[in-house]
Amino acid sequence: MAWAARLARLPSWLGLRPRPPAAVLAVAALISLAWSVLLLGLVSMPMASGATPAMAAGPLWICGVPGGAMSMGGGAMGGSGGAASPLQMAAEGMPMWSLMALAMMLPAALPATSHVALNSLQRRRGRAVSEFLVAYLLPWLAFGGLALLLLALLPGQATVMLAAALAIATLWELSPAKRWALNRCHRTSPLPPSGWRASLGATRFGVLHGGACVVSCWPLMLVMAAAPSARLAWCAGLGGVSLAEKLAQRPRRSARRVGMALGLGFVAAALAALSAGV
Amino acid sequence: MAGPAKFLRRDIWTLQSDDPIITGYANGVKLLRQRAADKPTSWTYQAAIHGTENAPNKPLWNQCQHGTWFFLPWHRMFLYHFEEIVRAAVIEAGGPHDWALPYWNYGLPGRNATLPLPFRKPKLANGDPNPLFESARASGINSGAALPTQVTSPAIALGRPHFVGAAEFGGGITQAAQFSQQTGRLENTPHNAVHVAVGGPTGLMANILAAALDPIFWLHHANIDRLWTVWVKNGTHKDPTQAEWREHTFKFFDQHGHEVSMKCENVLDPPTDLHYTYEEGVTAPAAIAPKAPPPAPPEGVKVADQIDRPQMVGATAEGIDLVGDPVAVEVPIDAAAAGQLSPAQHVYLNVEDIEGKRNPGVIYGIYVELPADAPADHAALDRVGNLTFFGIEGARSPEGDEHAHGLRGAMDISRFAQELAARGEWGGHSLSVSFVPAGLIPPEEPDPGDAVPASHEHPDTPVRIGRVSVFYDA
Repeated sequence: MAWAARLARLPSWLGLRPRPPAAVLAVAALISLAWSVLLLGLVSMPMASGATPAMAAGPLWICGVPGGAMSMGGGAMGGSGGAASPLQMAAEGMPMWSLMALAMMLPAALPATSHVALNSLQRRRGRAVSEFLVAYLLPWLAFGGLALLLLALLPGQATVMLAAALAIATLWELSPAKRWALNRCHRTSPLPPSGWRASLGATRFGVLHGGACVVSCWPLMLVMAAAPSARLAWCAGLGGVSLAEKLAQRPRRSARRVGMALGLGFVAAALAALSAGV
Repeated sequence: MAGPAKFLRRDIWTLQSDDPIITGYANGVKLLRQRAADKPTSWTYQAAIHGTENAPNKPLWNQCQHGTWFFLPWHRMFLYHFEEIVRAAVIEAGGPHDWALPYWNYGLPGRNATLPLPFRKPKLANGDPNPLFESARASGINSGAALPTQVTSPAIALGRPHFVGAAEFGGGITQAAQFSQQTGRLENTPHNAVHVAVGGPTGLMANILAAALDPIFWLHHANIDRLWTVWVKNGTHKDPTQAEWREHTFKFFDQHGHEVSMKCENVLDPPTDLHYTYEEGVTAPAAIAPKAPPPAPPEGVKVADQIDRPQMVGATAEGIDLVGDPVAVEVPIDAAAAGQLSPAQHVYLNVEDIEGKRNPGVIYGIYVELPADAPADHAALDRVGNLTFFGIEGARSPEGDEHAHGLRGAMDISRFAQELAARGEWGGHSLSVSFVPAGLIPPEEPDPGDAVPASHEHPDTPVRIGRVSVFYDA
C-alpha cells in the first residue's frame, strides 16, 4: 500500500475518525499541547555551553536541563557545574521526561483510549479514559526515573552510552521477546460498566496496556534517554517508530525493520565514538 | 453477461459415489499429497497458505483472512486457485477436463447435514486408503452424526441487509478498529460453526492452522462461497463499494506454481470473472429477515459509518466461564443511557474478550430472553447467533505474526429489544442472555468405535467470556 494512502488512513486507525468521542479528542489535544510545549521549549532551553553534540559530556537529559548544567565523568564540562547527587540529577530530568512520555507514548495509546471510551457508558467516558491513561502512564514514568538514575550513575561519554543503548535496542527488536510484548499491546481486558468495578477495570487495562508497551518499547526509551543531542528529533523519530510498530499489520516484519535501522544507528554511533578517540 | 460458465460446482449429495467428480477429487488429492512439500502445488503447501504451525514461513504461508471483511473474497480466490491446481491433477490422472469442486450443502435437512459418504471410510472398495478420509475429526462425524440446525443454518447471515459490519453479512472493516474481531455473520455461522462441529476438540477442521489439510475443508468453503452468491442474488444486497476493499490485492500460486495476484473487485461475479457457477435448483433455506427492515442509508453515506460510533447501554460487570453446560447471564440495561428506545433504533449484543487456551470443540447457541419452560431441543428456538471459538488459539499466540486479542462477536438483537421496550422492560431492567451448547445428533445406527459424546460432556478446555454488552448504533 502506498505511503500516502496509509497516512490518509492514520486518523481512522487511531480512532480519531469518524466522529470520535469527546474524551478521545481531549487526549489528542493533550498530545498536541505536549508537542507545542516541546517545540517552544526547544527555543528557550539552554544547550550545554561549549559542548559539540558528539563531544557532549553526558546525556542531554542531565547536562541540558535548565539550571542543571552538570556533567558526567569528565569531558568538556567536567567539574565546572558543582557536585550533584545522581538522584538529584535524575529528579531534575523528570519533568522533561514526563513531557516527552506524553508526546511520544500517548499517540500509540490512542486506539486503546478509543476502545475504553467506546466501551464505557457515555456519562463515564471521561472518567474511564482518565483512569486508563493515568494507569497507562505510570509504568512509563517509573521506567523513566530508573533510566535517568542509571544514566546519572554510569560514567561515560555520551556517544558511548548512545551506542550501548542502540546496541541493546537492536538486540531487543530482533528478539522473540519483543514480538511477544508487541502482541501483548493488542490485548484488551474487560471493562465493567459502573461503580468501583468500572474504575478498577479501566485502571487494570491501563496498567496491562502501559506495562506491555513499556516491555515492548523500553530499549527505544533508553535510546531516548541516552540521546546526547537533537532531543526533539529523537523524540519524534522514536515516537513514530513505536506508533508504526503498534499499527503494523505484520509485527514480525516491522520489528525486524526497526531492528535493522537501530543496528545502523549503532554502527554510526560506534564510529562516532571511535573517531572521537574514546 | 458472458456466456455460460465453463465449470459447474455441484452439490455432492446429488452425486453417486463413483461419479467422476468424486473419484477425480480423490485422485487429485492423492496426487497433490505425493508432491514434494516445498512445491506450491502440493497438498501441504496449499493448506499452509491458509495456515500452518510449521516454521520458518515459506512464501505466501499463513495468508488466511478471518475476522475481517476480506474473509469472503480471500477464500473465493484461495478456492479458485486450489480448484485449478486440482483440476490439472485430475486431468493428469485421466479425469474430466471440466472438473470443478463440489460443495457440501449441510444447510438442508436430513442426510445433507451429515458428512458426505465418500469422506467417511478409511478404505476404498478396492482396499486402497481413501484419500478423502481423515481420522482427526469430531467423534461421530465419520459414522454419520448430523450437524444440528443451529450449526448449519445460514438463515441469520442471509437475512442481514448489509455486507459491511461485524453484525452484518460479510464482516467489519478491520484496520479501522485495532481492538475488534470483525467477524461477519456468514463467517460466524455456518462457517466457523461447521469448522468446529466437524473438527471437535482436537480435529484438523477446528484449527485454523490445520483445517485445510482435511479434504472436506474445500467442500465446506465451496458452500460458504455459494452462500455469498445466494446473498448477492437478493436484489437489495450489495458488496462493499469502498476502494480499500475493492482494490485490495492478494497473492496465490497458479497450477504451474507461479505467483499470481488478484483484486477483490475482480472476483465479485464468479460466472464472468472466474468461469464457474453453482448448480441451480437447490433452494436455500429462508433467510431470517430483521423484523423492521433498517432504513436505507442516505445517498453518499457509507453503511459502515452507521455503526462506527456505537453507544454502550449496558454490560455485565463480571466475566463468564463456559465449561460445556448451559449458562444464563443478566445484562443490566442502564436506564439513563438506554433512554426511550426509538422504533428505528438498532440494538446489538456483543460478546467480548473471549479467551481460552484451546478450542473446546463446543458451539454455544446464543439466545435472548429464553423462556424458563423452553423445550430441551433448542433447534426450533429463536437464536441470535453462535459462539464458536474458531481461531481462539491464534488470538493468544505470542509467536504468530498477528496481533493477539480475545475474540469478539456482534449480533443484531433489535427485534428482541423492541419487544421488551414495548412491554416497558427495557431501560432499568435486565436482558437475559443464554449460552446453550449445540451437540451433534447421533446417527440411527451408531458405529461403536466412533461414538457421539453427550452434549453435556465437559470439554477439558474451559473458555472465558470477558463481558457481554449491549450497544446502540449512533
